[in-house]
Amino acid sequence: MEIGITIAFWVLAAVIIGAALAVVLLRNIFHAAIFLVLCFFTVAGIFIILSADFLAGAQVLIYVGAIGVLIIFAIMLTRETQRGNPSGRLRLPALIVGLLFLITMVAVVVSTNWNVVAEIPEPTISSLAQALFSKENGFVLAFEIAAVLLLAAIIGAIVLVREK
Amino acid sequence: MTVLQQFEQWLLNYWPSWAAYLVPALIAFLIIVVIVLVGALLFIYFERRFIGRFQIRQGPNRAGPLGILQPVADAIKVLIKEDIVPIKADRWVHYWAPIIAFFPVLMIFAVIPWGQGAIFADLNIGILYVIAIGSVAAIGIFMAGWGSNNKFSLIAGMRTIAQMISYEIPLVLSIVGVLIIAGSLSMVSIVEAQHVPFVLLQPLGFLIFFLAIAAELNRSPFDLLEAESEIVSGFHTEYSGMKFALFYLSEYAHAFAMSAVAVTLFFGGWGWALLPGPLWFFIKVFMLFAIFLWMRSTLPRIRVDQLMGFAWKFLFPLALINLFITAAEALIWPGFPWWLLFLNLAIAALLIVLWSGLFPVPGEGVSFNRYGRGIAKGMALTFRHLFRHPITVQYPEQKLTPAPRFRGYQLIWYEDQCNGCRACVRACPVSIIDIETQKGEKGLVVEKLEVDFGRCLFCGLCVEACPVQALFMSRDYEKATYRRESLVMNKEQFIAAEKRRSAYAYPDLEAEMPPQTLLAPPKEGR
Repeated sequence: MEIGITIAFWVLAAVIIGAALAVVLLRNIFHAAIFLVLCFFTVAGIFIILSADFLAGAQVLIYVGAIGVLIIFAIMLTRETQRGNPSGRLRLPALIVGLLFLITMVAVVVSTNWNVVAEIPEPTISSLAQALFSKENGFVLAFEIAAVLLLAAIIGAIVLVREK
Repeated sequence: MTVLQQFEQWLLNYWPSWAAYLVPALIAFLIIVVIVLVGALLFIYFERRFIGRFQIRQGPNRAGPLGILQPVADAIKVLIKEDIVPIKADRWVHYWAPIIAFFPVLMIFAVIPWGQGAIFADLNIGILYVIAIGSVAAIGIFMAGWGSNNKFSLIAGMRTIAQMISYEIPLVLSIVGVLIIAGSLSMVSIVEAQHVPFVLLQPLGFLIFFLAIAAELNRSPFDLLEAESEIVSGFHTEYSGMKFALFYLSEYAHAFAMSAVAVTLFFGGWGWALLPGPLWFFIKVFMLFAIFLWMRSTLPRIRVDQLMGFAWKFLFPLALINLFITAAEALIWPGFPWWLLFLNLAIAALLIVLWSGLFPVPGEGVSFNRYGRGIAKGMALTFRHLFRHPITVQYPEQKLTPAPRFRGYQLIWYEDQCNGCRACVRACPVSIIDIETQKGEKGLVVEKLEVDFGRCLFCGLCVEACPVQALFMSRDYEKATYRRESLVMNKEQFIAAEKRRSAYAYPDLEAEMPPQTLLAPPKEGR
């Protein structure tokens, strides 16, 4: 079992990195979007290896099902996608910002003390719900505020595109 | 513990752990593939026969007993066809699209509980997994539309995405009602929680779910992706051979999967069984699928704007209200006693009627009267058709009686009547009648008669011209030969031919003719 998980992890990691590179390097913007979806999907695989099944489901539902599809929808509505994805004048600034972001991420990942739970709580969903919504140490208020924020964003989008 | 896990435990006694883990998984995969293939073929057969009966036709009934081998024949045909890729297609996207459309559908079957303990993976997140994976299939369809480099396919792809974004929301919201009652996402727990089938406790939820999956599956009246009258066949216009077969298969496998999910969520899965669990489950799945077929054979396809409006203005608010009511009921009556079904049915009926009142038809008071009753009438009509005798003519065995004055393919000639006057030869506008006569004892005797029916117009002028009633049109209508020369009839053939006269130009003959039949004759005794 352990060997199987290790093999699965390395295969998934290779696919994720390959897909992510394809997203950045491919000229055809539609192909890039498809690889982005593949990348999201394999990240869900990593979540499954970590026994975070709810997170994996949410990853596929939100990232693949919603965000991936929305990106494809946006490409559909974009004109002149046939010319591909030409690089702009912002190459150098983009490189600098990207490198800074990478350094920050690596620093955070390395310096964080990752809590490893010895035993996986079963079932995961109800323990997740307990952690989120319990009366002590819960995040109900933050959750509700996020919901209100999203609702405000939706209404704002409707107001913006609405015909007068 | 499922059967598969027991098998794994048993294997652990003999094999190393990796093999004991891998082998049951492979076996499960094989079983799923077989179930999906057989199920999809059955569904295709079922659909074609059923739609036939709804339209008073026979449906396929030639290949094998009752036509049961028809889908097999179709599958073989489609596998050996040429695979054509358009020259300007995005080859890479075009190649992967059917595969990406099919695999998510296959994966849904992993969490469907066929019976007690008969499930491949009882995931904690069961129904979430189904929804998440199901949404991936739309990407495959969209890739097909994009990769074909065809305007119609692209429009279909666009419609897929728009349809999926719109209908995913009511779909998920309608499921949440069930989850509140069941208190779990696992498919097995949902089935076990159904002390009353949830369709009774969640009538509105089921209606929304059913319509939303009809849209997700692109079943009529939501089949805008392959609206033949507008965009040829939509996303699979440019597909042929094996790839087309994969799309076809995934469409039916998806219908199978979602019907099974609906049975699990709303109809008690394998529970409430009068028969062995899995069999009972399959019967329910087929019953539900039959409702899709019933809808398909009755309702016309709706317009794109109607499609979006229906999702956003009708299903979405109703799903929200349903969710709110269910949550309130969970607070007041946490056990969901069975008598709640009366309350919920009343609420559902009231909400549907009230909400449809928001979309008034100009000049009418209540729009539900028009649409609701219209749809109900149509459905009732097609349901009655189900029990009518099909009007299809089974051609070589059953033949129709033509009209009495039918002008059939050949002429009927009576040698003893003919006086060799050649009136027919002169009347023929295309000069295909050839007669040679000689003087005999009582006037002229026909030596040679040849008519080239390959060029005949069947105008009947020769029959009208005949002064001695020697020439008639025939009532036969089967004339298929492999060689043109066999269409030329000579004197011997005219004498030997079966004489089934038509009443053309001789109305007196009509009395002895059988009446014309337009439909297949009803069965004996009906």
